Amino acid sequence: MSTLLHLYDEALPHVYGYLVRRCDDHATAEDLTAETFMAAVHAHRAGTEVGVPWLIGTARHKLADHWRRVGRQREAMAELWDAAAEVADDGSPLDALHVQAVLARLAPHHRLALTLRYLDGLPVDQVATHLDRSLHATESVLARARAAYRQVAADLEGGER
Amino acid sequence: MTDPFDILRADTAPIIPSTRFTTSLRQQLLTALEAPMPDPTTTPATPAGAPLPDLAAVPTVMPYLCVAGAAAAIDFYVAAFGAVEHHRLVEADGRIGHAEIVIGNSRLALADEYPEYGVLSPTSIGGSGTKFTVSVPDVDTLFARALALGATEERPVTDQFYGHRSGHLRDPWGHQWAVSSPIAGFTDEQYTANAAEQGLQHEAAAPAGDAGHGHQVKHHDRGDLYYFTLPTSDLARAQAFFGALLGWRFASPEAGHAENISAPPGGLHTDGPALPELWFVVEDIHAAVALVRELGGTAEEPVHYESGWDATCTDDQGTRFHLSVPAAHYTR
Repeated sequence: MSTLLHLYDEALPHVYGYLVRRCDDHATAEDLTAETFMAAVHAHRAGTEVGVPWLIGTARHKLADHWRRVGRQREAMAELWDAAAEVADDGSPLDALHVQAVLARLAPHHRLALTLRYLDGLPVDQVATHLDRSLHATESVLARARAAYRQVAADLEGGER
Repeated sequence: MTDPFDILRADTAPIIPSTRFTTSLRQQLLTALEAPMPDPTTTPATPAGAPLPDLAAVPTVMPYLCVAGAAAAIDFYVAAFGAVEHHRLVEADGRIGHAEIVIGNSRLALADEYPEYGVLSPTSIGGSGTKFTVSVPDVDTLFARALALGATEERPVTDQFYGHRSGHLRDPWGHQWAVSSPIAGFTDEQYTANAAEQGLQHEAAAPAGDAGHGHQVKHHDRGDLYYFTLPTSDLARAQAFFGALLGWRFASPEAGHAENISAPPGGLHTDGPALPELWFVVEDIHAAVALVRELGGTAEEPVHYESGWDATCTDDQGTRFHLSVPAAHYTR
């Protein structure tokens, strides 16, 4: 059996698990999983050594592309990213209970930034590479994303009370 | 100092997707792995092995597919039919407003649905009235690959009476495709005979340009070359000469005349005028003759033959030529 099919059988739950935790629905996670493995076929045939880390890295790219598309559909992304205003974060502890619910309510670019930085635990410079922004611009996006997160989380708790 | 947002760090435990998804993606990967390896040093492999069409030229006729999901459809046409994407124009909302792909030596355009302009795909219409044919060297392999990638079989691959081995499928977006390979050694005679067996009458339409048949009804425009003759003292030698030089093919010579049955229409003769003669098409012979004289040339009175009107003229410097109004439906 082909090395790649063997890898598929072994790595599928990892790739799918990574994506399904970061998407709104199973269908999107399945689409991005398929895109990731099809990319693996091309890379494998081009002589690249493909393993689980490669797959997760590619899945992350696919996820970023997905949210960029969603962002473009909402037509707001570019302007928001270019806004310069700095937003303060009070640094108080977060409630981890509603993470997905809060993230799902954020604008796609905020969600993307927070996912890469915190869910995936990437350092800011790597987040900047994924966002294709400068380090400074990425820090601004992250600051606004954190503020937006707190705002939505507060609204959510307020609404549930 | 710890970042309060670190608490968001996601769980990394694997999650097994549905069996349906696992199986179907595995099949897709298997197919993709088995697909022939593209050679980056040559032009992209095309199904018919044909050279890519001239993309700078605008095709006279080009199919334009409306697809509900153009981006995914392009991926499918690339994977299933060996299409090569040429370019795409993407709207701010993500829809593909226009894309062009090349399959073999053919160029196709496609776009997403634009209900606001009444541009709907088979998915919305509930069917398609058009079928595209794809001619490939190995229909069985391509057909199986298309099915594995999600196409629906409409008619399985079988040998057809018309000399092709073909199967029909519907792609995941409702477009219909007939995929076929020519059966080696199949002749025109078999084609006609098999068609007759099927109760079909074979009626050849008037071919344009080089017909490859001696008899044709051709549309003529003003200024077209209608006919030429070249004088020769040895028909066989002249046939060999122009056949080798220009690819002309001749009907069996009759009465000192060998008719060129390839384009342009004309012939060689041993017993006519000693110089080459040319006939040009006009719309109204009498008006044209009057114009020749007005321009300082000369014209004999027009003569009517079965083939149409003919007037022998000279230009204002004395060079001889003919004007013709071809008779409608005359076959030569």
